Amino acid sequence: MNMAQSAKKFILTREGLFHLREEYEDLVKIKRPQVTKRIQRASEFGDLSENSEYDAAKEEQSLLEVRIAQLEEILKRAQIIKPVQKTDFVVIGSTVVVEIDNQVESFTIVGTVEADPANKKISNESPVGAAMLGAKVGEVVEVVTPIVRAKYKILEIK
Amino acid sequence: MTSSIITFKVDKKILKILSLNERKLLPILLQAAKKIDKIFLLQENDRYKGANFYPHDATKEEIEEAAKENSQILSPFTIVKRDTNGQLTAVDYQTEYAKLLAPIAQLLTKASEICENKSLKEYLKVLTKVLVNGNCQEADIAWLAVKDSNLDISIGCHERYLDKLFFIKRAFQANVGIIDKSRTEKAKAIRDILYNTISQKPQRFMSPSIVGIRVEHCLIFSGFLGRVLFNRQYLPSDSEIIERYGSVIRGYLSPIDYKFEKLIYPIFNAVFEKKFKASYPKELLKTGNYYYVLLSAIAQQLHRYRNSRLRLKELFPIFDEANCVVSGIQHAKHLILKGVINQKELEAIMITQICWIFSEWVIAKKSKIREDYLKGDTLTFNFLLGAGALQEDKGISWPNFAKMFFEIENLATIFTRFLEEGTHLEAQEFLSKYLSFEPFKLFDQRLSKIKPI
Repeated sequence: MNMAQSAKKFILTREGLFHLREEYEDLVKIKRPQVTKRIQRASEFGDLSENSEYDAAKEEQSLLEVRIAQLEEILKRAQIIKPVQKTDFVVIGSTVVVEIDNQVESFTIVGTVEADPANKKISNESPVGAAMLGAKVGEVVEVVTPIVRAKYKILEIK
Repeated sequence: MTSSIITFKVDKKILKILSLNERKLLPILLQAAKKIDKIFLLQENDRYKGANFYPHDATKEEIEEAAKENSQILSPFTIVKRDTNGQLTAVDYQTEYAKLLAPIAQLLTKASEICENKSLKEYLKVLTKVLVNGNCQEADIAWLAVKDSNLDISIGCHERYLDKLFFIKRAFQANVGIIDKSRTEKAKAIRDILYNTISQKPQRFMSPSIVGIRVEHCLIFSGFLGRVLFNRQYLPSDSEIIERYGSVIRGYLSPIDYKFEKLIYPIFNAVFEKKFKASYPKELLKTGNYYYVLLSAIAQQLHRYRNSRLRLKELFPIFDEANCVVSGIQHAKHLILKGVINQKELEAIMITQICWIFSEWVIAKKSKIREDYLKGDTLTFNFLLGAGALQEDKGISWPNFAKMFFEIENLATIFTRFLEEGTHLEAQEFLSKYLSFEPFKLFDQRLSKIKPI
């Protein structure tokens, strides 16, 4: 982890923080002991080189530990944002209604940790999220990447 | 003709996903799937446009004339024959192939008796019945209702590509696979982003529910599916069923990976310049290849329009396939803007698109079965070359990604319009302008070592 990353704050809503804490507790208190038991049980089956149950459990443990470490880092550096009041310009937490390519869509700008584009939550660090911040109703925001260009007209900020 | 059966090796870890009951079912289902091969071989015939669905001496006009008197002649599920008086008659599949279907039905009965998953059991029961009575729609409806199963099996007649004369008759196929739940969920997330972004058009027909997705590790392909090695498939294929009961996209991981290793990556190495290649590691291209397939599959469902088959007739599959590729890439724009994929991944998607175009040219030297795909890809290739988005120098391709993406967006608009409201004549004119295989010949030397699969 470099200096910039180690100083990075993770922007979260209070609700998002609550869910992450819940996930962390579940992983540490329930899932971790379960996997440890599975590994112990599997290792009793004998020859570890041919033991696929043991391999599977070890792999699950490694994924679990990576996620636990990630969550610890996020929880340590979490920066809570207050619930958004209606504003004239887009901020993290705003739900925006936009027009792009003659089609209307809406999404909420959130911190990266809570981003879930399938459920219309877009990261503030994504090209669209970053370009939208500070924009006002009626404004046309041009998002330009080296390959893709798009114009979003902001119809409403909720 | 050689066997159409293709089996895939699957990692032990994947097999472990199966429950004990599913493990008991598996060998029976594999056996049933294998038996479809013999029926398919009776339908297949590369030398005739109408394969073995129609008498080889019958003209298109004669068949159309006979169909006015007997609509069964142009039913998707009949074989057309000449009677003793030389008149055309129709024999339904279940009668024509009764002897070969009976042992398959027996295996499916055995499987349904031991199956513990209610919905899969029901599908197997219905399928057994359908193989005897021929009501394929009933089987499609039961297949759509299968849930909570790690195994995915389907046997039936779906694709029309074998009938190049009318694009009507369906070829037999079978497959058995194991659903990858994690990749299925991720694929659904991509689908949701695109469905949230791209709004409904009046001419578009939609399922009553959002299109389902099953991403699976394949164990066996047999019949048409084994012959063409599809990466993805959309079932059912009957629009009436889709509008009433919904539909499912199947992503076939095993052929996707197999073709990447044997065809796409070797083509990448053959047609791109050394320095250019160094910027795209194999794993990145593999990711791009998977996105390419997934986006095409989703785009194909987002761009289903009423009457497009009727209007475009035998040209429909060419434009449908060409459109799903370019529209899929066009829709990737929303993924990059929303931070779901990054710049390099989009480039990898576009590179694999070029490789897929070349792959159709390579495959066409061995078999005509994917001719419509080659034609669709050729339209795209020539359009991009003509616009300067792709350049060629001594058999080496140079993509200009920004220009390429811009032209892909233009092309997606053109193809979508053809499907939405275009006439057969308009489509024919576009085809006359862009359907030339000459540019491929510039790359022939570099592609000569690539073996068609």
